[in-house]
Amino acid sequence: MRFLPLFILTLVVSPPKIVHAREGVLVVANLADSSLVLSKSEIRSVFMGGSTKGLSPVEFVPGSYIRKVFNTRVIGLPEARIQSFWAQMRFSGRSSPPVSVDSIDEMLLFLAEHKASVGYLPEGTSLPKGLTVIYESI
Amino acid sequence: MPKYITTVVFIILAMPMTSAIAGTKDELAFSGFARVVGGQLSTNEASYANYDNSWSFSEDSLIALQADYAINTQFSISAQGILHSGSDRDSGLDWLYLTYQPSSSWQFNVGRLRIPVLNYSDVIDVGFSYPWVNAPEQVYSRRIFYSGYEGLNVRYQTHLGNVGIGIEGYWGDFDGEVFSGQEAFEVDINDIYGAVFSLNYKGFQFRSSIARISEVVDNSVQIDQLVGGLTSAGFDELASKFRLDDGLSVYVFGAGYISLDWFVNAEAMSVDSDLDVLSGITSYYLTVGRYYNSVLFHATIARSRQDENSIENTIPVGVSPLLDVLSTSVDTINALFPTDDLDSLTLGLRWDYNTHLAFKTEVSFLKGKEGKTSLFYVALENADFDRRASLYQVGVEWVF
Repeated sequence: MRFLPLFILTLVVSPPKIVHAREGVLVVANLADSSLVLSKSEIRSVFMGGSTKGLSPVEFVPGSYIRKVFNTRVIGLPEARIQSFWAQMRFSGRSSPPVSVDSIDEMLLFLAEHKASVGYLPEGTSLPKGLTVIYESI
Repeated sequence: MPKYITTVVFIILAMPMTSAIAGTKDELAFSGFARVVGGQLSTNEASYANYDNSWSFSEDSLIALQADYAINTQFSISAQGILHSGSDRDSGLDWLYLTYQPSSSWQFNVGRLRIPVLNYSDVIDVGFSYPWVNAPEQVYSRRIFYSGYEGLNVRYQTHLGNVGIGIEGYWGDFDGEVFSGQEAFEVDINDIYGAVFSLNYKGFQFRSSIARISEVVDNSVQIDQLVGGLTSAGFDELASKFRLDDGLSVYVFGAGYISLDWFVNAEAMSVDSDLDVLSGITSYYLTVGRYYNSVLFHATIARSRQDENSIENTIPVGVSPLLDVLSTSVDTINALFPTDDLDSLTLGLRWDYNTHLAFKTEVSFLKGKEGKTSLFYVALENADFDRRASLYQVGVEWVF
C-alpha cells in the first residue's frame, strides 16, 4: 500500500495531448440526397457499431494521423479503448469494425465506388463530385 | 425451448447456401483471442480465484478461434471454440449461432450464446476487452456467467436526439451452475430469460439488466441425501427448506463516463433467490482509469455482501443415533453455505503495445471476514485464517 499515493498522483496528472486543437475533419458520404446532416452523436454511432442510418462506414487504419484526429474530435476515445471495444463487440457476436483504408486516395476511391458509404477526410480536402459532407468537426 | 437450436444451426451450416439464397456473397473470416495469465496469492493458508502461494499460469490462460461465415448481407453464421488451461473450465464450442440482421438497428441471434447480464459477462474470456487482469471477483466470479445458453437474443438500437438507446432481450435453455466453489450447492438451470437496457449520451453510459432463472433443478447428491433422510424421519418442513427447486433473479445497474484521457465505470449487482439455501448477494465495483497514450493506470474498489442464510436446526439431539446423524448433517451443510463478504482494492496497469497485443499487471488487496468464506477457499486446518491477502497478477492479451 506504500505506493498508493504515487498511484493516485498518476491518475490525476494530465497526459500530453497528441492532436492539435485546430485540426478539423470532414465526414463525407456517397449519397444521392445531399441534404443529409448528422449530429456528432449519430456519426459516433455509425462508426462504433451502433445504428448506421443505412450508411456503411469506412475508416483509416490504426496509427494514421487523420484517424487520431477523428478519434479525438468525433469518437472521443483513445485508440486502445476503441480496440478493446471492438474485441468485445466481435467476440460477443454484436458487430465488427468498419472496413479500413491506408491513404486519402484509397478513401476517396472507396467512397466513390460504394453507394451509401461514409468516411472521413482532413479538413480542406477537395471533394470530387458525388460526395457530400454530412458532418464537420469544429 | 427445446435443445434443438444448435442442431438446427448445424443443419443450416450443412445446407448448400449458395443455391438456396439468391445474390449470396460467400465470405469466411477467422479471428481469435488468447490470454496468458499468471498469479500468486500472498498467503499459504488459502486459495482465491484458484490462485495459491505459488505462481500459476494455468488458471485463466486460454486460446480461442472464431469463424464467421457471411451467407449474404443479412445472414451469417459464427462459431467460437475455446481451449482453457484452467481445471475449473471446460474447453469446447462456446458460441455457435445464426445471425439475422435486417438493418443496422435490429439483430437476431439464434443458437448457443452467452448471457449478457453484466457488461463483460459474455466476454469474460476476452481479456483484451477489459482493463483488469481479473474482472472483480465479487461481481464476475459467478459461474452462471461462464456457461452458455441455447436460445434467442434480440437487439434493437436507435438514436433519439443525441441519446443512443439499446434494448436487448434473450430467452433460452441453460445448463449451468449457480454458485461457484461450493460443490454442495450445484444446481442446473433449465430456463433463463432477461433484458438489457442501455443509454449513451456524449461520454456518459448507463446500462441496466435483469435476468430471471425460472427453473432450477437440484444436482447435488449431498443435498439429495439430506432431504431424503429428513423426509423419511418426518422433518418435512426442514426438508423443504433444503430442497433446491425454485428460481432466482439477477438485477444489474451500471453507469460510467469515458473521455479521451480517463474513465470511471461502476456496476452493481443483486442476486435474489427464492431458494432458502441460496439466499441473496449484493455486490459492486467502481473503477477509475487514466490513459497516458497507450498506457492505462486503473484503480478498482469492489465489495460483496451475502445475506445470512443459516437454516435453523430443529432436530433434537440424544434421542436416537439416526436423529443425531441427521442433526450433524444439517450442521455440516449449514457450515458449507457460502458467505462471500469481501472488500478489495485493485491497482493495475495495462499497456497496449499495439492494436492486437496488451500487457497487464495488477495487485488486489483482499479483506474478507473471519469465519466467512469471503470468496476464499480455506482448508479446515486453516480455519483461523484472517481472510486478508494480496493477489499479484500479470497477463498478456492477444487478439488476432
